[in-house]
Amino acid sequence: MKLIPFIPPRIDWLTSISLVLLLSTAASAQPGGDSPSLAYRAAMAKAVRAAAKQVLPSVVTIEIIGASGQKTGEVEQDAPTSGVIVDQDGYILASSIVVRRPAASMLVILPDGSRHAAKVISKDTHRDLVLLKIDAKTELVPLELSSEVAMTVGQTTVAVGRYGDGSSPMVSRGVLSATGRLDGIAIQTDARVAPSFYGGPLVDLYGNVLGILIPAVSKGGAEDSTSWYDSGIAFAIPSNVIASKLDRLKTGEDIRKGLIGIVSKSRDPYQDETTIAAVRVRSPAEAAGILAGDEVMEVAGQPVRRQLDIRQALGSFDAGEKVQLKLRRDGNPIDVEVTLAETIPPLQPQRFGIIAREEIGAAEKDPNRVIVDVVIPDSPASDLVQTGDVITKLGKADVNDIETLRRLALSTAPDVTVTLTIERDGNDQKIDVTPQSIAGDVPSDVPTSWKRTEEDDQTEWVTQKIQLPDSANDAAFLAPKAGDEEQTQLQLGLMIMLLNPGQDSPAEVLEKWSVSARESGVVICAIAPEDAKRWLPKEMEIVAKFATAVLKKAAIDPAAVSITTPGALAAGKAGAADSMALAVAVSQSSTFFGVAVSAETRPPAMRLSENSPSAALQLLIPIKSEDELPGWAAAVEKAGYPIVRGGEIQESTLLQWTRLLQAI
Amino acid sequence: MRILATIAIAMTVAWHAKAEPPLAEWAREGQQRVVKIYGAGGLAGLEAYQSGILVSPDGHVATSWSYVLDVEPIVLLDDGRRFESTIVGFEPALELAVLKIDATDLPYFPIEEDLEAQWGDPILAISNLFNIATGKEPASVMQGTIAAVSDLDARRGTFKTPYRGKVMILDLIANNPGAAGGAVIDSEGRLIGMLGKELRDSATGVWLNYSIPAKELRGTIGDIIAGRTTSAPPSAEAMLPRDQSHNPKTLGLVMLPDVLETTPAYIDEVVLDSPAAKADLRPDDLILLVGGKRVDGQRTLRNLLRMIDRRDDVELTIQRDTEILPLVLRP
Repeated sequence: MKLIPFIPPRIDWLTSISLVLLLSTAASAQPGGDSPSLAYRAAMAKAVRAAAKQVLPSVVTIEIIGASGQKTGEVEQDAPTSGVIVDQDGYILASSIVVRRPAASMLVILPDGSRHAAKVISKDTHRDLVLLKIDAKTELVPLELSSEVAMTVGQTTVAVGRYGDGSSPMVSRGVLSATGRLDGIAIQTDARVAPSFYGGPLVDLYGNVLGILIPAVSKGGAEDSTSWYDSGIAFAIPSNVIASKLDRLKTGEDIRKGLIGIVSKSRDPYQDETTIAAVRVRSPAEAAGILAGDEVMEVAGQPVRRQLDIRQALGSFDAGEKVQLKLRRDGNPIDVEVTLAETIPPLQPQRFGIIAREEIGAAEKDPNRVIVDVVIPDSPASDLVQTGDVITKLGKADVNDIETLRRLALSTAPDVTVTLTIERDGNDQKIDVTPQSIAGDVPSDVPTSWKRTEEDDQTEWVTQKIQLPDSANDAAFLAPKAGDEEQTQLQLGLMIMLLNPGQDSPAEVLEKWSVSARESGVVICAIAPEDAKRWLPKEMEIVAKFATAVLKKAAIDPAAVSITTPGALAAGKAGAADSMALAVAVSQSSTFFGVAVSAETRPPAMRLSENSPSAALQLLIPIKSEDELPGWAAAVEKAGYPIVRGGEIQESTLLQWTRLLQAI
Repeated sequence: MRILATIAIAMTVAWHAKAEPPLAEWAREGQQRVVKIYGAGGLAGLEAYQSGILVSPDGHVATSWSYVLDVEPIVLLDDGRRFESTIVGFEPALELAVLKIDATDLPYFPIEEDLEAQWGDPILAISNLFNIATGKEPASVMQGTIAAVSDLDARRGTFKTPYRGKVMILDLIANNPGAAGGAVIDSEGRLIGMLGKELRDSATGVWLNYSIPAKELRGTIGDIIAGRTTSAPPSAEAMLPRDQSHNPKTLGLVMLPDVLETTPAYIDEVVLDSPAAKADLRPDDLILLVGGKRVDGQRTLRNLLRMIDRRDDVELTIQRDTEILPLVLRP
């Protein structure tokens, strides 16, 4: 990392000088004299070396030979890093950077300079550590990983590693910046940690091991886990945690982050709300008997008030570990024990075919009511549910807002009949419904009330340019003329259409859509890339901002927002816009609920996060049968994204599908 | 016993830590001995400035040998005086140049002979990084520690300095544009090193913060000032003509087809009665080191062999299954 000329003030060097000592320093501070300054610095240097020497006999260099693949970030894929000997039998702990790329060989250079071939025994992917083993005939000096080390934020820390051809000792001094970082798994130091230090120990001034340094950045902090090298923000896995995991790693068992499978009701992780909207099918939460509607009070003995608190409290647990949860159900506290899992079966989103609206409770204390507005023809709900029904329960879970109903429906198990409790004409009724998977053929029909002809629709639709303050993208949108009251009760859809570089201008493209958009009730916003040759990654967020801006211009249901390209149409060809649309949809999943692209789309180079019921995305591609699925579709399905087969996609198919995204 | 000693030291530090004293005394003295140098550059993102160190009272300035010196450079002293300078000598192998300005009675750094800087020692780095200081503004002072004392990774072709000696790796971001030629001083105010040019570490790929130890430069600076000519030490790593150097063929090695960017140096076949056969090299052996230098792929192997005379022995370290074996191939 190159830094701009900024020298952070070091509190311990510049302040906290007691008056008495200040005076004595001033009196004797002559260059070359025996000033306290000199004594202090000499003592500190000695102490740092002494602390490092306590552990250096256990610090090794890890060399990677013949690594293949592309490097990501600045750090070379075969960069030599550090590691520590953890016992006499030749077990060596290193950071995950040593297994980032397949390599022909991995060598451990012991402090005596001898090289040994290393085998990977196991990985702790949750903590970015790797356990290696060598067969060394020489005596090994294991590092003492104490299960109890006192840590105080602000205390001096020393990062220890080895560097260069001669495996020279290397140190960097700093302070302990924080504990409980990265969702509770790491400690943080401001010592400058260059990549050579990864896998090396972080010690205190007495040589006690505080932790093992790992390459890491905070969630979404940077593209590559090594991006924060030398920045003054470095992370280490605490030694007591490593001590407790080591036996498990030695058996060859990999350690992964533990997953629970609850879907929170609140969309904002900072909101005071810990109610569970839905429980994932075949998840640890389901196995432990957690129900939708339960409110989480405590996780592992820690009180929680927000969704974020729950995530942080669960963050340090591994798959296979048990966690105690205190819940509130129907006003009563209950305790459950959950055994966390490594994976949860991918989401297979379901729906009933209902479009609902929320009615605010009559009195202030009354809960909101979810009222059925439209029933989709030929859907599971079509002959069972009627317009005007009030949905009060799905299974055992109370329903009093649309988002909860949506999350519950999406998380329902495929082909399992559930009971909807509704209020019709003042009476409670129970209806058994079997939901339908969203994956499959695109729905062919739309509700009768949505069908509009020119005669009964007098609204005027117009194309307008739209600009955002921080972008130079050319964009236009086609929507009902502002101030037209007739449209406000209709839940319109919004289709964001990304254009390929060098195509017609957005306003020209929209001309062709003016009739179909109005007939289908879908607002269209066409966006051209800023650069005439390509879409840039920084534009992903900008596209989402356009969507947010257009949402305010008409009566659009925020769940009926799609992102599409000309390539998704039957006659279309895959282009840069298709890859971009996929990237935008996945990275901005709280804005987009559907993405339609060409089947020949080149998948963007990005990590595919799991689809979640709290922001579920579906993918529409112009294929007729499963045989036509592109190669990358398997990974998409495995991550829980339903693939909708559109066949010969026409303009109207795309628009109707967009509007139907709001269906539950 | 050792633990007790450590605790004793740590306690000393803990006592002093209440009053970590200021560095002002050395900082100001150091600034007076560091100069700003302006020369060629300014195009294509190359900065036309760097730093330098006064090493004699008579206006000798040690600095980094670089494109900035392509024209006779201008030297600005700490007190704001401006001089035209002449280049009196340079030594590319040390990345060193010595300039002379027409001035006397200047404050300067004597270069002491037996100064042993160790890893863990605190230092001050003084330079005109980013050309922040102009005119009579003093150079910038940064504090840090010597993280390691090590050889530079000498993998050929990737490293853009001819310097091959020991360097002091620093734990501060010291090597920024304009910092080259700046002074690194110890806690007693003595010159222990000169900041080098901006470099990426060829092994890890990241920016390196380093300084060349003063004692490595001492002899050459003295020779240049005294007017003695110096010659570059012969580079141990010059490429030899193809017909004089080794290659896999001369050793009797048939390597795996080189198809990847870094194809691992696996042996595919060993020619009968060749040096490789005599040393009992076998198919599927992986070559790890040649003469102690890491072989990250077949291209590196060929390059390393190009530096060894065909008549000389070749030292190899190989991996066979999990065994690491040192071997000598005799032509």
